[in-house]
Amino acid sequence: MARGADIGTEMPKALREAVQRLMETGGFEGTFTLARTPGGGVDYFLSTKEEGAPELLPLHPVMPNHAGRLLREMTLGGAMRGKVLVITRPCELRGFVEIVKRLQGCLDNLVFLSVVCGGVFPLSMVSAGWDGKRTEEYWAYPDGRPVQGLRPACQGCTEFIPYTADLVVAPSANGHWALTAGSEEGGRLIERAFPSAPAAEMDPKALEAMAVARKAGREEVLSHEADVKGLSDLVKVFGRCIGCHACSKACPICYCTLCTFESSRMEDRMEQSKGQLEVKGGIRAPAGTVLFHIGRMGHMAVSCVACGCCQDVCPVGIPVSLLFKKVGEAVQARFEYVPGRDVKEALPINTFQPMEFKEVGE
Amino acid sequence: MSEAPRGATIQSEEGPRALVPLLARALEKGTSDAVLLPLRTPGQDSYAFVLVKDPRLLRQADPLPPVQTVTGGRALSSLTRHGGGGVRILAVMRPCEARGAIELSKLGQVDLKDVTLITMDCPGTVPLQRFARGDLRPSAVGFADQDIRPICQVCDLSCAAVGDLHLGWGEGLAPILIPMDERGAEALLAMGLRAEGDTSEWRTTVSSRSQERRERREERLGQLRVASSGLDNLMVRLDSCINCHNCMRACPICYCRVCAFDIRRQERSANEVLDLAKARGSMRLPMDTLMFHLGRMNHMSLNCVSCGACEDACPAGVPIAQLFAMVSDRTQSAFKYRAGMDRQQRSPLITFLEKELEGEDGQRC
Amino acid sequence: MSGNEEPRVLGFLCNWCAYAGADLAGVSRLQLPANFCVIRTMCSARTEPLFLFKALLGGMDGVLVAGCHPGDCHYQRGNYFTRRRLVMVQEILKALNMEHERVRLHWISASECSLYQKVLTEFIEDLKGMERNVARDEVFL
Repeated sequence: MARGADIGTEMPKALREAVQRLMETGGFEGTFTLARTPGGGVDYFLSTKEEGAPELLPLHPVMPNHAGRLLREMTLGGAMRGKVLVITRPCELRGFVEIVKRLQGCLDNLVFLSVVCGGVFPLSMVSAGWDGKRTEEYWAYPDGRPVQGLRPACQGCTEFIPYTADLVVAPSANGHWALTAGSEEGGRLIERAFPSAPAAEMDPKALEAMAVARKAGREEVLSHEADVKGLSDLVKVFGRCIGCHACSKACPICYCTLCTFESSRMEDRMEQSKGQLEVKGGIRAPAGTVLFHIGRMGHMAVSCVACGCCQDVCPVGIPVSLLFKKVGEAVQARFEYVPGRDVKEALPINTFQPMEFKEVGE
Repeated sequence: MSEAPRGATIQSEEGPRALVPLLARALEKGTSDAVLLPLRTPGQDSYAFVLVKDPRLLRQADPLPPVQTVTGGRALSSLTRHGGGGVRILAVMRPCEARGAIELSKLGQVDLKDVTLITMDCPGTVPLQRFARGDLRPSAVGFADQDIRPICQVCDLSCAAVGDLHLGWGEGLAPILIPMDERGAEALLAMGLRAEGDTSEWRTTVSSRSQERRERREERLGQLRVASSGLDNLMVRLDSCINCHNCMRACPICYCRVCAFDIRRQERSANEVLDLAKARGSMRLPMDTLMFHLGRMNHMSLNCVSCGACEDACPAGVPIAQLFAMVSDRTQSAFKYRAGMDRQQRSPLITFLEKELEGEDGQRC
Repeated sequence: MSGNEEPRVLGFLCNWCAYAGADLAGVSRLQLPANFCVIRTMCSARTEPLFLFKALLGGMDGVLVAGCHPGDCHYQRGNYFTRRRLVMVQEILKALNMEHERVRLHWISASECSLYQKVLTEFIEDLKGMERNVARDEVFL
C-alpha cells in the first residue's frame, strides 16, 4: 500500500480537517458525505460549495440511508460528469460495487474515501436524540474493545476494511490516525493535500485486535436470534412481520422498481385461497410472509454485504440483518465469493465452471 | 335516524373476546364461510389477520389486540382485491380499519359483496415499535389508557359504528351487539342472538367519549398546525425522514403496486443532481422528501382514515399520522366528506356538482 | 411419513432431456409413482429459486429439478446456471436448518428412462422416511 499521512489523534475533528483539505486540493466538483440536516439530524448530502454548506459529518456513526443505494439512484442513468469525493463506510462501498456489477450504477468519476470501520449505531438512536459523548467514545482509538450499543450487524462484521477505496482512514501507531492510499489516485490526492505531513501507515496490531473482537462478536450475534431451526422457527421469527417490505427498500442490493413480491403475480386470488382454506382451516392475510423473506434471500443473498440497513428500518425489530448475514455468508462461502471485493469479479449466479459442483446432480 | 337501533346484550365480562364463541357459532351454522380476525402469532409476541374456517383456530383469536400490525383494510384487500369469489366472510376489525376497507372498496381494491364487517368500540392501540421492543405488553388496553398512540388519543371516530354489526362495550357497559343494517341482523341471527335490548346507554357513552376526543383533536392538531406552518417548520417536522416510503407501504389507502414517487427517485441523472447541488451549494439526498409527502397528501388525504399505520411503520420517528390527520381533516371537511363513514357517498374527486363549494370557499376556489 | 400417506412431489423437467426421458418411461410402460406432478420447462434454467421456495412453502414434500447432462444443454449453458442456483438454494435452506433434502437436482437424458424411474422412486422412498412437510398445515406462512 502506498504512503499515508498522519492526521493526528483528534477524531473526528482530524477527519473533518482532512476532508476539508482533500476538497480544497483534490479538484473535486462536489463531496458526497454525511452532514447535519436543518433539524439537527444527520443525512447524506452532495455538497459543492464551502459557504452555506451544512456542517459536514464525514463517517458519522449512523447509516440513515445506504450510500450505495443513493449512488445507484444517482448514477443509474450514467456516470457523474465531474469528479466527486464520496465518503462512505466499507459495506456501503461494497454494496455499491455489487450494484454496479448488476449494471445499476456507475463507478466512473467517483473517488472513494472509506475507513477501517468501527461500525455504526442503530438509526433509532438518532431519532431518540443524539448524545455528543457517544461520538467521542466512538472515535476513541480502537484497542479491540467493542463500543457499546452498536448495531448487531456491525458487532459481528468481519469485513471492516474497505477493498476498493481510494483513500482509507485507519488507526496508525501510538494512538494516531492515518489517511492511507488504497489506489494510485489516492496516493496522488494525499501527496497534494498533505505534502508535509509525517508519513504513517495502518497499524496491523490494531487491525488484528479488531478482527479478533469482531470474530467473537460474530459468533455472539449469530448464535441467538439468527439461530433458526427450520420452518417452525422461521414462522415464529417472521410472525410479527407486518409486510411493509422496508427491509427490501432499504437494501442496497434490492434494486427492482417493482419487486416481484409486490407484483400482480404474487397477489392472492380467492379461487386459490379457497383451496388453501379448506386444507389448512385458515390462511394468513396478507399471505406469503415467509416466502417473501426466503425469496428475497434467493434474490440477493449472494451479494448481501451485511450492512444491517434492513434491520435498522424494521418497525417491529425482526433480526432481519442477522438472518440475511447468516444465509449470505453460507452462500458466499460455497462460491468462494466476497461481495464487493472487486468490480471485475463476476456474480456467482452469472458465471460457472463446467467442472464444478460435480456432486450436485449426479 | 328514524328509530333508535336495538341490540343484543351479551352476558360476558370479557369485552370484545365475547365475540369469539359467537363467531364460532356463526361458522358452525354455515351462514358464513370464514371469519377474518387477528390471531396471536406462533411466537406469541404479535398478532396477524387470519382468514379462519376451522373454528379450532379461534382459540388464538383476539378480536381487539392492543396493537395494530397490519390494518384490517389491507388484509381484506389482499384477499378480495381480485374479487371475493363468493366466499362469505365475517370480517372483525376496528372502526378505522373498517373505514379503510370501505375506502378501499370505493377504490376497487376490496370486494365487500359477501363481507359482513363487524366493528367494535376501540380504546386505541399502543405504538407498534414499543410493543415490538417489549416495553409494553398489556393484555388489553383500556379506554383511559395513557400509553395509546398519539393518533388514537385524538381519534373521535373510535366508536364509529361503520360495520354491519357493531359491538359496544367499555367501562360500566355490558357488551352489546348492534346490527346496523340487514346484513348485520342476519349475522346476529346466525350467532343465535336477537336485537331486543335498548342501546341508549351505549349511545350516551359513545357520544360523550367522542365529544371529549373531538375537543382534544381540535386542540392537539391545532397546536401541530401552528408548529408546522410554513415550509421551514414543516421541514423541521420531517427532518428525520429518510425517504424510505414505509409510511406509504403501511398505508391501507396507498394501494399502487409501483408508487409514482418510487419511480421519480430514479428519474434524475447524476449530472442533474450535480447541477442542482451546484446551484444551491449542497443538496440533501435522497431528494424530494417534501415532494413525496406533499404528493402523497394529494393522493390519499381525502381517503385518509387516521389509522396511524404510517406512524407505526416509520423507522425515523416522524409524527406522520398526525401531520396527515391535520391535513386530511381539512381536505375532507372542504368536501363535507369523512373517509369511510358513508358507503354510498362517492369519493370527492370523482364526482362534482355544477354549483358547489361556494360561499366561504369562494375565495379558495 | 406416518401411516400410508404418500409424499407429494413436484418436478420441473426440461423439455429436451428430462421431460423426453419421462415420456419414454411412459411409452416403455415403466412402473412410475403416481404422486408426482410435472411442470415442463423449456430449460432447467427456467426454474427460478423462487419456484422451489414457493413449492416447498406451498406444502410439497419434495421438488425435483431435472435437465440435460452438463455439456448437453440444448441452449449450451443453461444447466450450468441451474446447478449453481440449486447450490445456492440448498445453502440457503441449510443455513436456515430447513430440510434441504427436499430439493434435488438430477441430470436425465432423453434416453435414460430407467434412470428417471430410479431417481423418482428413490426420491419418493427417501421422502417417505422423512416427516410430512410442516408447511402443508402451517397457517402463518
